[in-house]
Amino acid sequence: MPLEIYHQLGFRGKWNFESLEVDNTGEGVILASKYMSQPDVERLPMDQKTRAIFDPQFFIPSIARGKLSTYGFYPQQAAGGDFSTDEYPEEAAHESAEGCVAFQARNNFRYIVIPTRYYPGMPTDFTENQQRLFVDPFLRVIQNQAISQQIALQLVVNGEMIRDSVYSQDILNWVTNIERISAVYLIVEFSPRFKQINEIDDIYSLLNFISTLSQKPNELDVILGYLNTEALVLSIASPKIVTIGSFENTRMFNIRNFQEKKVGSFTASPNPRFYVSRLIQLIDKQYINTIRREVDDPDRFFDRNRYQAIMFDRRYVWNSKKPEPYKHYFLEFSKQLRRIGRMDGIDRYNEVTKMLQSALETYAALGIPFDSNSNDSHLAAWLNAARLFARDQGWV
Amino acid sequence: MSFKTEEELSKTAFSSMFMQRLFEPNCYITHFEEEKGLFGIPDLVIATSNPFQKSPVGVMFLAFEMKLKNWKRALIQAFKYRSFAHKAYVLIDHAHVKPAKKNLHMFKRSNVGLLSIDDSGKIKRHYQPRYRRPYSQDLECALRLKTINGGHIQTSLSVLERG
Repeated sequence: MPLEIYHQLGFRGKWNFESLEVDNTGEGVILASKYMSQPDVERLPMDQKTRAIFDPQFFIPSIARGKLSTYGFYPQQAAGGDFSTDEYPEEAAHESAEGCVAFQARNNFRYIVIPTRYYPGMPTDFTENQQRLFVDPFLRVIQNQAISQQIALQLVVNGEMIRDSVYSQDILNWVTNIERISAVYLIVEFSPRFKQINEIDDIYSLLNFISTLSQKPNELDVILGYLNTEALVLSIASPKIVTIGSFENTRMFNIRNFQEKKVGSFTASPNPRFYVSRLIQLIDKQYINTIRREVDDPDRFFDRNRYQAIMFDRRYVWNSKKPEPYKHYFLEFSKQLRRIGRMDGIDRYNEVTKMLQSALETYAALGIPFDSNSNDSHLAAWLNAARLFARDQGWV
Repeated sequence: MSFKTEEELSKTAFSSMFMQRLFEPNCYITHFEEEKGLFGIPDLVIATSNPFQKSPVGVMFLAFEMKLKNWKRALIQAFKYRSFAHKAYVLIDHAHVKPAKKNLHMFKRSNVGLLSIDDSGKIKRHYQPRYRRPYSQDLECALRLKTINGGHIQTSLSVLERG
């Protein structure tokens, strides 16, 4: 089955819809309840909704930031107001499940997503809590409402959990024993992190985790949320759907985006970044001029499309809140994903490693001392992790 | 003896012969310390008259990254300054310059100068960069406007953007 690309929606989701429609950069969207109100979601055309996945974003059930409060079934709303973060009343969990399932069924989304809350660290009662507060209430409602859609379990884990083989195995055992679910919507938080995941162990552990879910005997659809360009290397573990996103908070999951903002806190606009497919990296835009001067044929070095043409115009004012850098990224990165998405198994692995190797060579030929968020440090780590994974699969 | 803080190193550097020559009235125009709004935050940028340009308004920017010992990070930073400066330098504590000297080829390849300073204020040149047009015309122009007219870099940039 070819790899599918979904857009992880966030702020300025209309850019994603435009990119899908104009440039065919994916198959659907993951709707974010924090950024899109319930009436706005309901108003979407049915053909978009049937291809969409709805993310209820119950990560911090006691806080309804952004548009979350427009959903009557959001835990904080269902509980009739605030409750302590550690306690999530079970009656509210049931009421919330009823509303959330009904909403997803009524809108005919591709899957019914069983949401989850976020846990830091490695709590000993992680799976028990998830089962009690989300899986049981949701499955009960699904059964009572005679739902025909496929069921996806949302799973939010962190780097520590994934790297710990015993802990991650416990999670996998729990997930694969839940009856009725046919998909896992996986979100992994690595914190602290660089813009790219550049630890071999993180990627290798994640590849194994995904592969256990997606391969025999489990064969679950794995939907990977909040991905940056690591989508490329993670594709070798055969997920069904990988995601692409515009702003960093849709490409790198961070629970802080769902927590209450401190009064007076201010987030500076990040430097605009520009995707270079030959480097598999979103580089700081200031390096564009550097590369243009350092390479023999700059016109052939950069991906060329109408967004790039706009951005390379002398009069263009770069700003991380403008659509062109993101639409350029969607277009060029989706082309790379499509190329590998048509292959599977060892062929996909070979193509991905070829791309990584080529990007490393391009970096070496450039010889530019890029900073840590624009350099090649992720590529060697991904290549090594991919090779370890391939060895386990018997591909090399 | 090595420097204890970057501040101490920077103070000594300012009073060195090397720097004093750049501050001579026949060439010195102005300088900026830890200027924001460029690419990276240079410890020091000195604007001097430009011997490579015949125009009387020609300005040359020399940018410096001062570090006690982390030459790699200093090189990455100083390279960024080539976006707006005609010459960029790493100035490192002489007591810790050996690892940088071992990797002098990286400074050469990046055309970033390498200087070291001891606690007496003596600056030694290990690699002298070549004069090069800055990578970003916009940033260089913004810095030039600031040099000539004063004002804030962001203001200069917005003038450019509107133009």
